[in-house]
Amino acid sequence: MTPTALIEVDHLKTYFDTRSGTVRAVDDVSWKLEKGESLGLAGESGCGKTTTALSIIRLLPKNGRVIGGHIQYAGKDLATLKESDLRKIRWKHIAIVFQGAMNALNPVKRVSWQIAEAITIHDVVASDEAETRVDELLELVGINPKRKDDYPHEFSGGMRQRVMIAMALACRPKIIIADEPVTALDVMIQAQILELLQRLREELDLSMILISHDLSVIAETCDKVAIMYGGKIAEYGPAEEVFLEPQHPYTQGLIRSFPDIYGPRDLPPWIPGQPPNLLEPPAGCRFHPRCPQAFADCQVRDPPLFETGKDHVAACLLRAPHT
Amino acid sequence: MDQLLTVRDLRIWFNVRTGLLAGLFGKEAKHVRAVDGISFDVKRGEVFCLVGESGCGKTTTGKGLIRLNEPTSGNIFFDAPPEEWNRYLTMERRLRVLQPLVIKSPDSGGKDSGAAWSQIRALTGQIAALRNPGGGASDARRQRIEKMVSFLKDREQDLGKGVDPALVRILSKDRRRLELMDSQGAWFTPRRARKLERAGKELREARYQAQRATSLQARVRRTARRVRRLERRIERFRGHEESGNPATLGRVKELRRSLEEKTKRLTGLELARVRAEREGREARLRELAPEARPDADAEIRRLESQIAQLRKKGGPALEALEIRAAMGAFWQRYDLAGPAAKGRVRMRDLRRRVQIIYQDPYESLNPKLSIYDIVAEPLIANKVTSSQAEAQAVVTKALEDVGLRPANEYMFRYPHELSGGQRQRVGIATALVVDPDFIVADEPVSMLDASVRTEIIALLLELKKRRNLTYLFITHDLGLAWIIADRVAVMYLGKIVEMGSGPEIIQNPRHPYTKALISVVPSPNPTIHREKTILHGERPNPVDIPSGCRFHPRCPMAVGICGWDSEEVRAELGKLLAEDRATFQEAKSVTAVATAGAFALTLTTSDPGRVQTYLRKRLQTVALGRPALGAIRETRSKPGILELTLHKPSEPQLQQITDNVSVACHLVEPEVAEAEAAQPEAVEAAN
Repeated sequence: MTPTALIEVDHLKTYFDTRSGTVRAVDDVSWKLEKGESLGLAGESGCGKTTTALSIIRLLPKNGRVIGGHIQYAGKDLATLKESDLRKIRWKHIAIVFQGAMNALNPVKRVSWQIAEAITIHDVVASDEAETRVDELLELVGINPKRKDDYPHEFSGGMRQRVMIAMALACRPKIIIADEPVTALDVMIQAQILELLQRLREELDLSMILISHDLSVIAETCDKVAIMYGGKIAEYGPAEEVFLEPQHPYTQGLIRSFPDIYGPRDLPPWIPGQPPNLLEPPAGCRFHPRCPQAFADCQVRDPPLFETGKDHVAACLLRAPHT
Repeated sequence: MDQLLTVRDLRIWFNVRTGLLAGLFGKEAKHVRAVDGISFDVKRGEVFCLVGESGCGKTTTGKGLIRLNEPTSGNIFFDAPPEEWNRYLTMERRLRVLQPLVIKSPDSGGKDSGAAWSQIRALTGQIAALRNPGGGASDARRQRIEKMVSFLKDREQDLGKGVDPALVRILSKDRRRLELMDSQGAWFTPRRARKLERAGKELREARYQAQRATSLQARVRRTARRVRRLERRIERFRGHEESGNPATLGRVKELRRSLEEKTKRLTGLELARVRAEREGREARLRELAPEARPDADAEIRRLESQIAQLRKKGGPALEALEIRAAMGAFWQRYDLAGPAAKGRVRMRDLRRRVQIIYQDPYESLNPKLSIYDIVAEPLIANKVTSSQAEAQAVVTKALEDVGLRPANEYMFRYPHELSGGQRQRVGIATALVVDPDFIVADEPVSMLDASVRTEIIALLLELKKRRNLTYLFITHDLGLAWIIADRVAVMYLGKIVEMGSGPEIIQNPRHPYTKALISVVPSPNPTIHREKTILHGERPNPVDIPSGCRFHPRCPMAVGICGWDSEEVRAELGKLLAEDRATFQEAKSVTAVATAGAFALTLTTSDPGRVQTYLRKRLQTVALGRPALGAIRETRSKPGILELTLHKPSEPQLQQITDNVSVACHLVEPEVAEAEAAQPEAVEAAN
């Protein structure tokens, strides 16, 4: 553990209170992001990826709360910080590109207005200065500033995603969280957006957290990856290592289930069953009901993260060091 | 393998609404050319993939095939038997040979051949009449009358036996009344008996609901109350039963006598009427009886020789006309895009054989219907099953086929209670329930989580094997196409740019667009590093499709002949001149660059001659990086101006490159043989 980590999430727990009980959406999740690095959060839908991200900048729905753990950023703990102090960090230091670019923009406001709003809310700036910033930002994400006074419906899906990125960059953040930035986009537009994110990271010296259920997107863009399952981290480590030598059976299954045009032309195997209901997660390892390698112990013992390599951990009893 | 579906030059255009004023001032109506002339065929039992970006027309094509979109032109032949199909192809080939001859022939207006054609038709009709005396139009009429006579004879017999359906129907009310009074008592009119019956049915349903409510622990009291109420009502009805009462017996006897009398009277009347009618028809039939002609054979020979003569005189124009008529008949039978397919009956028949699986299972299932209702809807709409019990059996089978087992557990749930994968299974069951041959699967897994996708794909492939299905698979995911497709067609802006065997296209793409598309498909293997070709910009608006090759503005390999228009060249030339202003005297002397029509430009300059030599030299050096400038074919200097002519644009057509791949690109040449394929691809550069 190096003390230089830019942001460090430590044993984070975020629960949702619902009528039918407490949903343990994020349950004891830890990872850290170094400066200039990109971290991928991957997993099936409903495994707590987005909740983790929203916990960081505390944009959770009303019934959600962080009930434990720390989020260390620049000497402060974001998990316990006062709302007024958090506001100074939100967007100026950590910004988010929300999921679903198709619907995340306000359809009745002009694009320039929406970007300028992000600037004026978080920064004290004159309106004409905000205006020039909007131009700069649009230029930066590859949209002709002439089109800034258009409405979102006049933009294509890829361009709307670019606008969302411009909005996230409005206050020159240090960390950008991209929540499924390329889901529902075509491959070509997907490649364009990923290229843009990569370029911005280099130009603006950003760190990035990329959330996606598409492992191949993460494999191509991230340095580190955290595979989540049922609100917990299943495996965490350098991307290349995780993808080449996955240690957790879930990661193995997930990677294998992706069709690869550079691989064999067979139907890939898939993981049968469904992700656990987080209202009452299974006892022991949460993955054991679907795990092909499960054994008796899995049903009772909740595996901690075992070290399997340098900076590479996996929550699986199979990886427990022999004592 | 024979083809199940053949699409020929299909176009699906949508009108763009023009304002009233614009319409009045004669502004040209615009069209979104969503699908713009595509041809392909799908073989029986294969998976044919249509891939491309959104907006390339793949979904429009899919919907056009099952006529959820109206095709603007073209043919969609569905399930034509091979021999008929071959005959059609022969006719088509012959017609192609004839076409130039027809144009050259003196009778290009078609007046003479038209007259000859109608003569031939008349003669053929005569021959048919001779071969089959009394045939033709009057034959049909006679058959109609014969049918009527035999029907009337049947009725006469039935009336004699007292089983005539019409009479039975008329008397059924009385008979039922009698029956009820006899069995249940005088109080029971048919109406009251029906009420009792209905109450019994309601009770059964209520008992089922009550049972279900107990298991679901909801509305228990309400359903129990309903059961009790119905039971009480039935009890009240039963109180009136009194079949053995002597007073009733007397009334029953009286009723029976009056019924017998009524029957006898009505039968007599009806019998007389039917007999009179039959006799009238028989007389008419005798009048119409054909007279056989003794010299029929000779007459037929004479007419045939007459036809042969007409044909000889008519030449190619006449033959073309005859072939077209025969082709028209073929279209009428097998073309889904033609007007004949619009008929309700034909459409119903089609929907039973061709089904669609929609993209988004979250939006394509009606949230207010139970799973049973959703899956049973096509059965009801297509009138496939005749009874509730049969429908239930079919739905159960369909649900179990798609892996929702046991079906009873899912049947009465609602879509919101299911996960995405299960919903898509319902979508598949809905398509399968009418037992189709051909399924259009429109991005069936794109909205699903990556880990569920393979499961659904495996299910689709298994069903294909089990039920002998053929799929047209629409997807933008090339990884998916790689796994499942037997053949692939890549679409761009309403056209197929590359088509052929799936593995071949994905491993060895030839069209620049396919190449780019495949290069950006992400791979879960981080050790694979490859050159990515990211196309910049977005696809053009399908209302204004670029001239020439529609991909040229975004093509990384485009050259001068790809179809640049003067507007594009002007922009590029303007840039070049601005850059050269400092270094070249000639560039400075150009004062204006203007377009002159779609494919010509004029440069206003003080010294056209020198500018011409400068441009020629300069273009040779810069043409590679600026393909638009390569489009300049000719320069002609005139006093004060320099005229530039551009290459005439031509749209590349899909042409066979190897045995199983066709590509539509000016830069890709057919690879004739193995030996020659080793040579570098001949790239024909401009100039």
